Amino acid sequence: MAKRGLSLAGVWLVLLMMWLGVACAAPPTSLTLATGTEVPLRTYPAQGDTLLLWFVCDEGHSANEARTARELALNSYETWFPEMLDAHFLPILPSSLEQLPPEEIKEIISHAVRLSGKKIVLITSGHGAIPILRGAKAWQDESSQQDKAALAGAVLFYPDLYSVVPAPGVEAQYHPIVVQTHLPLFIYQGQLSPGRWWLEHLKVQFARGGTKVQSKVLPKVRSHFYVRQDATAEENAMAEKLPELVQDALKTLEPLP
Amino acid sequence: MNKLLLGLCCLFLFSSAHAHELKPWKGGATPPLALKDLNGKSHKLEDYRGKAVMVQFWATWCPPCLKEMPAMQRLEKKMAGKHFAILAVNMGETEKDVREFASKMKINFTVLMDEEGKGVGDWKVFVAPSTFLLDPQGNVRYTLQGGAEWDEAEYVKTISELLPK
Repeated sequence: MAKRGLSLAGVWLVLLMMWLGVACAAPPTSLTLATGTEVPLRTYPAQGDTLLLWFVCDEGHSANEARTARELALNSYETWFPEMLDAHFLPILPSSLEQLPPEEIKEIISHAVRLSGKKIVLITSGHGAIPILRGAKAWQDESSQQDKAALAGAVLFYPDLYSVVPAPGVEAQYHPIVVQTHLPLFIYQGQLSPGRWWLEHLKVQFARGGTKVQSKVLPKVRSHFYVRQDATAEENAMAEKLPELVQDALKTLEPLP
Repeated sequence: MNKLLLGLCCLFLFSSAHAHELKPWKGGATPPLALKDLNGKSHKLEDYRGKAVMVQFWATWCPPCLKEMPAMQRLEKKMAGKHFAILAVNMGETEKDVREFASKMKINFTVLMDEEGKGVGDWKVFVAPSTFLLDPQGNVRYTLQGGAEWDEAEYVKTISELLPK
């Protein structure tokens, strides 16, 4: 009987060590993708069950994004910044985000799911929206119904989802990924941006694909408000609230039927 | 640092390439425009029949809009006495903000207030500034996305060609 008790304790010990191994494993510092691309990864570990994959335009040097990740880690949200522009030697510009290969985004999502065991939320801004949503869809297409739940949604700051720059006076053409997306989304749009007037129109397009978008117009800020060199006092104040904004958005992301 | 410089060069080239390109209008019938100016006076596009009209959508928060305002002032001076009008449609800002800005910039042309974004929607404006050039019959003939030095010869020539014969 005592021997059986000891074996049972041994099994429990092994299971506990395995669990601790998953829960406490240090996040990787880089990811090597099938394309051969080595993506440096800056990580802000936390114990919670959510991992934010944040695709930034400035190699992670933005003080606001880094500060946000630190504050989110205190609230148990883990953040990884895959330094994709660095990996592809792209200019440090918001527009460079549109060149991120969706196949690589898909693979990064796979790595994040496998390595962390957490639910994943994607975050990006502006031109990053199209490749990130394409990557998310590619990942979903290859995942089983059960695994799909690991990708919990995306938070998009002032997303640019036009297939081409819309000409004045002509109906905007959205990228096909808009109607193909089936993922809980939250969109933040600056009030001081023409995109503010088209937000509801964009939400209707997403709804065609079955995506219900939550959104908020942020008062007195322009697009790129948290990375601007010429930020106004109002934009700096809003950038200070970035951790709050991310957490507010995360709370609204609910699984789609 | 090199990548930053490269990026800035690309941005400059991109901006320059797009700053001077008047494009033929492809939006069909002229959208409606009926808005009030800063003094509360109503303006309809129909009121300007017989004139070439520049309809520009702008905002005080948009740097290229601010940059092109002095050029628009100079354009208006160059076109003084001719059948030409500028209607600068502000995109959704408060009357106070716009009035302060107009006063500071000593703007003489007509500023219209589009507080609810109706004009933005009707004219399908996705970028600030966006400008439309209309002939005296009220047809939109050209559009331009982004800022421009409107008193440059190229633009003055195009606008002059739109004036009633």
